[in-house]
Amino acid sequence: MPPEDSLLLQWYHASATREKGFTALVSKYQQPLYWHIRRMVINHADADDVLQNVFLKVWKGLANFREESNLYTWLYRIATNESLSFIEREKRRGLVNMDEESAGASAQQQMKADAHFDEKKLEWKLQLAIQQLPEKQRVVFNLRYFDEMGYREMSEVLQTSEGALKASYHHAVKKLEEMLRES
Amino acid sequence: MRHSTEIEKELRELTPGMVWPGKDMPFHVPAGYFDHLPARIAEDALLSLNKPIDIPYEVPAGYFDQLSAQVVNRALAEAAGEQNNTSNNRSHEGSSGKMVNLFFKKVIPYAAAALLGGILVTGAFLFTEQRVGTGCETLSTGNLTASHTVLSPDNELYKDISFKMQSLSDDEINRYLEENTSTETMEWQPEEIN
Repeated sequence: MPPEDSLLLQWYHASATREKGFTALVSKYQQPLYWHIRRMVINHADADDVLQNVFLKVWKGLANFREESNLYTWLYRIATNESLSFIEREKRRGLVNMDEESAGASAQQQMKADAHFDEKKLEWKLQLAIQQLPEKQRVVFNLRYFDEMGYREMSEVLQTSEGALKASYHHAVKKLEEMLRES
Repeated sequence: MRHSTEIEKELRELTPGMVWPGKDMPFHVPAGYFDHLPARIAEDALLSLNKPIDIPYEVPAGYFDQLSAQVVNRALAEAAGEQNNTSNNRSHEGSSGKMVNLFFKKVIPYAAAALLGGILVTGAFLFTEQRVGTGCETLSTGNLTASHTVLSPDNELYKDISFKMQSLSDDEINRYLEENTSTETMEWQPEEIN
């Protein structure tokens, strides 16, 4: 059973247990954050880079973290912003196509190049379909479907109203249903 | 916070009859990746605290190795130069650079202070004299103008007084003078008369 967030923060704020608190925080959140990032950047090496940057930012920013918000949503917010910034940088470097449609197509190509790719598997089909969604809907769908996040937490992460998030999620679900039924 | 039940219900309502895939990710992660990640990240985080700030300038090779020896040599050369200056009171040009005469270095502040003091005293003197001169000029013109106006023989009042005095006898005048003469200085008050 991982320690409660309040205990992690308590450890982090005491200089004697700071490292222990941080290591426990990484252990607790590494997998959900890794998969959240990986679903956005696709490639493992890129996900690893982004994840390390996220935790470095957390290490530097945790001293100023105001416990008014949830640690969990704060971490997801950093991870989302870092992933989107990474994608933007890649677009500027020309490694990812600028328009969403082409970007989705290149993400699909990247997936198909994966050694474990199996086009018959429904999980892969879903991942391929998700890449065809607009960026905002993709993030919203991933947070809701895979991370099982409530709309209130999502609105903290994405700084968007719950109503708008609900609409985005519903649009995404309808589009994915259509794509999956067709395939 | 997991909302799986609520999310499944929502999906069933939105897409009736649709079978959604499981939530396991089909992507693969290198073996043992998550086992070593916390220690690796903690190490990087601690290193980031001691990481020196990158400076874009370059230093010539071996600069820091020779720096202490260079500083010592220069200090010794300057100390030797100072000794020569105090004994000979002359400036020297050494191999390490131009030597400044210490006698002038010590005297210059005092000379500057004396010069400044002189300027201040002269300025104050000139300022005071100018003010006194202006005051006298004002006084003399003002008083003279007033007395000339009052004592002028063309003045009607003067003519009237002269006429009246002619009718007075010498005894009356002497008596008046004896009664009214005092040791105090009488001041002429032109305003009272006018």
